[in-house]
Amino acid sequence: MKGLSLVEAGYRYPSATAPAVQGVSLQVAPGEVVLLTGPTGCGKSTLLRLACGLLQRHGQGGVLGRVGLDGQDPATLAPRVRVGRVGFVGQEPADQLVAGTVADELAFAMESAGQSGAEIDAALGPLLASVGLDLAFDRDPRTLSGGQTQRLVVAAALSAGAGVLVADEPIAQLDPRGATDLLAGLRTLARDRQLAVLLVEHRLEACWPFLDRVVVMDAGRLVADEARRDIVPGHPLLGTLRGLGLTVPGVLDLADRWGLAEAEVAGRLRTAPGRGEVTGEKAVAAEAAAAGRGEEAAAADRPVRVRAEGLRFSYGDDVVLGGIDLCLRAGERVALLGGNGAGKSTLLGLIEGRLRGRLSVHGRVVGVPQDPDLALFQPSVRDELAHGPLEAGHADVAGTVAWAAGALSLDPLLDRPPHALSRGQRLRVAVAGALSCRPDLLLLDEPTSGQDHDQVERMMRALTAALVEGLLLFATHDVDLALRHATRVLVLHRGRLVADGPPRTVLASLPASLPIVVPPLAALCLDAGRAPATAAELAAAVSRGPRPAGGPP
Amino acid sequence: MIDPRTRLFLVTAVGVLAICLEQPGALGALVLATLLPLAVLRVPGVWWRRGVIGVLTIVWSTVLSQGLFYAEQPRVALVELGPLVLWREGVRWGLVQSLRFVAVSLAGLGLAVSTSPDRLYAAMLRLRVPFGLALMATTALRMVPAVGQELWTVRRARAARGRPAWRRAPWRWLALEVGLLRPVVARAWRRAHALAESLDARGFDPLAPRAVRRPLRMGALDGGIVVGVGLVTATVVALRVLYLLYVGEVLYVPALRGVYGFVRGWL
Amino acid sequence: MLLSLLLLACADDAAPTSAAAPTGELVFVRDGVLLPRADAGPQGQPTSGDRVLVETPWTPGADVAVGRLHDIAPVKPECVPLFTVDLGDVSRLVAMGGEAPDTALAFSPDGRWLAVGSYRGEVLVVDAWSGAVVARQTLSEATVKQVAWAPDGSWLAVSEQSPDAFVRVLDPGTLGERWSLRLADIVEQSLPPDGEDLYGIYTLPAGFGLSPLADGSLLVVAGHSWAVDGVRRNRFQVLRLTDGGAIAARWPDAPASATFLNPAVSEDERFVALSVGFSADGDPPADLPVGGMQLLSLPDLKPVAAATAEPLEPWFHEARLWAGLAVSGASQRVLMGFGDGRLQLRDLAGQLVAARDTGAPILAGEVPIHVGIGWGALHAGQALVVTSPTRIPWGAAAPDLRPPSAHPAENSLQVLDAADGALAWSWSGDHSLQGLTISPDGDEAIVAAGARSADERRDLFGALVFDLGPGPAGGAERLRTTCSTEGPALFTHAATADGRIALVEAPEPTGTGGQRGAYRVTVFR
Repeated sequence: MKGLSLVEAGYRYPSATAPAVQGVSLQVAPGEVVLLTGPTGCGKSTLLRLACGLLQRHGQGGVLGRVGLDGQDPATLAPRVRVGRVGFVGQEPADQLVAGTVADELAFAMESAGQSGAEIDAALGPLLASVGLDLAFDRDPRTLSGGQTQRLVVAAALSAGAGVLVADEPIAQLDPRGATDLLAGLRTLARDRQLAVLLVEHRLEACWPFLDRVVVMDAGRLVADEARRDIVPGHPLLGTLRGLGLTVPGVLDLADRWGLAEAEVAGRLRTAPGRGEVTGEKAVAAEAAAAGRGEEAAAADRPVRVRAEGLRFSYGDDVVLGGIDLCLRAGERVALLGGNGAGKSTLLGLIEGRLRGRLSVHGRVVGVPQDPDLALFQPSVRDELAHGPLEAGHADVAGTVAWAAGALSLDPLLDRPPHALSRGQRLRVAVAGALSCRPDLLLLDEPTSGQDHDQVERMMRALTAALVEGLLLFATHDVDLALRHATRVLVLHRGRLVADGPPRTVLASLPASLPIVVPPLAALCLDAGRAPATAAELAAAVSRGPRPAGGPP
Repeated sequence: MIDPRTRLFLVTAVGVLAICLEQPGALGALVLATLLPLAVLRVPGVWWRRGVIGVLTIVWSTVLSQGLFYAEQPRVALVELGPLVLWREGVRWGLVQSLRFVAVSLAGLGLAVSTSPDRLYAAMLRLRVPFGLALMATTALRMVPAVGQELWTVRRARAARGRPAWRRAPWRWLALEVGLLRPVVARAWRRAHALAESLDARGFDPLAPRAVRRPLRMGALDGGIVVGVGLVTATVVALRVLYLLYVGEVLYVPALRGVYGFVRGWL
Repeated sequence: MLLSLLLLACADDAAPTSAAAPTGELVFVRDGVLLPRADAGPQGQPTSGDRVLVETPWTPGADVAVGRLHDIAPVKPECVPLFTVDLGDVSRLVAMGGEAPDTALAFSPDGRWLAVGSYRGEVLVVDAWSGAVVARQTLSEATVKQVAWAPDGSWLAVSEQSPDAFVRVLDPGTLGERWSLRLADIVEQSLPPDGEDLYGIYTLPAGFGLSPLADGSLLVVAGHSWAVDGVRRNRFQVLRLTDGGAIAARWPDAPASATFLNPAVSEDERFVALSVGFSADGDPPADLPVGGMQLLSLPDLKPVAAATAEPLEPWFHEARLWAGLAVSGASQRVLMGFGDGRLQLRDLAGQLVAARDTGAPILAGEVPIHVGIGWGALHAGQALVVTSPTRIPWGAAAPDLRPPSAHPAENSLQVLDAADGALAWSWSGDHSLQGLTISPDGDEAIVAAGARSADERRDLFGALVFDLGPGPAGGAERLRTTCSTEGPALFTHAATADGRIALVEAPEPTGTGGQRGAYRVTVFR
């Protein structure tokens, strides 16, 4: 049987009492793109590694059931054979590079498979083209962008002719444009090369258009396996997804909540109450008000935190920022948008003082690095939160810790070691650690990167409440996040500031050439002249549908 | 291009020489020699600048601290500034230690930036280095620049949130300095894991023969380098061993007195 | 002298014909003047710095004209450095606070060359007028112990302290080896203990007291004092080597468990006197005059006489003789100056002729004080001794005890009649005196001013030059000139018949960890 098949498959980690995954039966046929999703810790990654044989070879635990790659157990295949059957792609593209040139990177799997030099050389060009890359063979892969690297890694994983691709959150580190390009590439490969693709991802919205099937896992078992085209408003899977805390694509979600077809959502948004005015939901109200004129005028009286005129920065001859004028004030929540390499991190670095530049910054600046783990260096969450106030000699350290922990819902975790926490929790600890310093400027670099959307959402809401007088500046390529949590948006493109203003105004008129993608629901809201909000919020505000809104508020 | 096996050999030779040499002048020459391949590699200017600043910082801080706090006898004051005395023997010792460190670091860095992990793998396996060791070594080398960058980020993140003054709370300061390694180690572990998975998934089999698109080939240049550097290294090692036998009162050959003097004065 | 006067006269005649104006001034040195070559005309001996030495007698206060220059002569002559030879860095040794760096110096018999051997093992032959290096060689892992010229200047003998203790006879122009003898084969080999050991180098075998004899043979003491498994041992033997390195005579027949340092050869080369000491564990050999002197005949190295002295109880438990030893065939005397301060003159049979308590202990209030006799010489019927600074005797020494007053004989050069020991004259100063050199023509005695004495003045480092000729009885009038060095001058010095003096100086610790001065040789005139 061609493609990937799992029959009653499962895996028990050596120290665990119960299997992490059990009773999974699943088939991915050639040409099919299947999404495997589920809440954090449900066993998705374990299943993926089981599917490609990684766990069988290197895990010490017990394998249950059967796994078949084109009908054969990957555990019994010699590596040189296996590499021609299945390819694996992980989350962080840069960590998966094994070679020093693009050609060597692509050739590695073919070399493992025992192909001759001539065969390999002949295959290199078509391989690159198949993932839509046009690169010099001798280029160092470490100089590529995140999107390019991930595509190269995909091509490298498939170069030995694998018919199955297993990918673990391959778009986690990519900007929306990069993610779309990669997924579209996979879709094309599946069609053209009859590739079977099994994908783990929780950014459902981004993947949705490219999928054939959606498989949902919870607590180590499959709970749903549906063809994507069958999932229309009213499908029970949508309720299941919401029940597991997963984000359903916005328009579909709203259509489901309103009991409409997806195509009818736009019209309803235009006619429903709340258009152009403050809607009932509190969070939406605050954001809409912040974006409105009244508050903008008030903000002009607030103290200036960052001011720059013609700010430039370059690494050698490489100009990263070219002439940026900026004035950021206390009380603002500023989203810094732009694709990979637009200069967002550099601007943050300049404000934080990591880099030297001609700009004035007033007040205490605390930044959370892109990888929040790098800001966690204390043995416990409590120590992490106490570090700032203790070193600054604050009088009420315990009070500050309690406040910061409360703001980011960390109270139950205070005595845990930070590095033992989940990814979302670690981000919240890092942000709470920064918050406990009572900064005048809080800088976040790509807080959504590698994060559960839900987690980020909760954290941003907490920050909005905690940082009333402070300036929050966050770099992101998640437009939704900017729309919903920023009072102001700065758009950087190739080191230049190309837009600066209230999120709705800015995002409604973004040039299409920018690698920034406005999510469909937000785009519809903007078209309808209303504040972008989640489907849940919109449904709660305009609960006119036949079906009551489900899922968490 | 130099074969990766030759590069490994060069790094090993630098390590051996750094141990065998004790004179600042000889170690300085070794550092200069390790700079040579880096110059050939056309490392970008910004790295040179950082490198020079880094090297100077290491050397200067080691020399200064050793020079100020040298307590062994005999010692000779080099500079006397009131109660502060810079001891010549301390300066010398600091110079020796830091130059050793710099030479080995530069050689490792040169290997890390110039040689891709797969080529290194191939080289190490051809040299019959066990798979596990080869993987560890390659991963470690590959991570040198990234870990450096991360350590810097961690220090920045800590600095932004305040750092304990060394004077006020030495133990807290020390504990924090150690704690700073925590995230870097955690991150390095994850990175190593990702690389290992990637290699495995691409059919890397340490035990099976594998085809090579660009086979490792030792050219005349490689031969020349291996023979030349090998001879120099072997000579230095032999001289050091002879010298140690002499000062250890194990073996003394009157005819080798010139050699002993050379080792004491120049190596 | 006549010739130089003649030359002087010629120069005077020639002076008016020279168009150029005088460019320098006259520097009055002993028995001559130094002046720029341009002002001197064709006369004089060229020296370093484009100067010439014109030997001419002058009297204080007289208007002296030489070449195109003339000036009023001063009361005392100056002692001018001609050149220096840098000997490298010994600050580590100085910082260890031990002995001064062993250094060897010898002018060639004709005064043209100076041979230098350094603590760092370097052997140099330099032009003794200009300082230009003629030949240079480094003996690895060795300290040069002694250098000595053949009587005709045809070879240079070098002895070392090293695991091998070679005695080498070299060609002076190239330092190429003519022959060598490994003394470690006689007195055993040993290796340097840990490099940090204060006395590390001194426990290696060495060739002491190199003395070339008129017949072309070479006298040397092969010596070795070291420890084997914690037990201290001595091996010493006196050897006379033929030109070619064969052993022509030896004493005793087998290396003895005693030390024979500072052998003194009589001016007529009929005798050699050895100071016999003991620095090993166990009992000293009963057949040797330990703490005294052994006299041997030359060239056969047969025992002629021996003498010891009783320990000066209660202050001293043994008698010690170091470099205060001399023998003279012409005067028929052996001079023995002991470390406790006693001075003895004996005849060649070893019988006591005269004894003086020169520096022997006296009481300063309750505290005994003494001075030791460091160096001695017999010359032209005179006995010369150099005494040390005031000390507390060993038997009364205590950590905080300092001499309450100076011993009357401290830091002095004393000159006595060798026949009966009567004091002819003496000179004493503030500084510790180091070494005693009699110039080859016998006119001058040179004593170095070394480690600081009681006061803090530093301007007396260098050498004191005394007139030994018939003349005034007072010591002050005998001091002809003072040659100044920057750091303390060591006991090793050398002189030529024409009045040049070579001094070695070493850096001096400043007390706060630093050092002043340098390790170098300076040749003065």
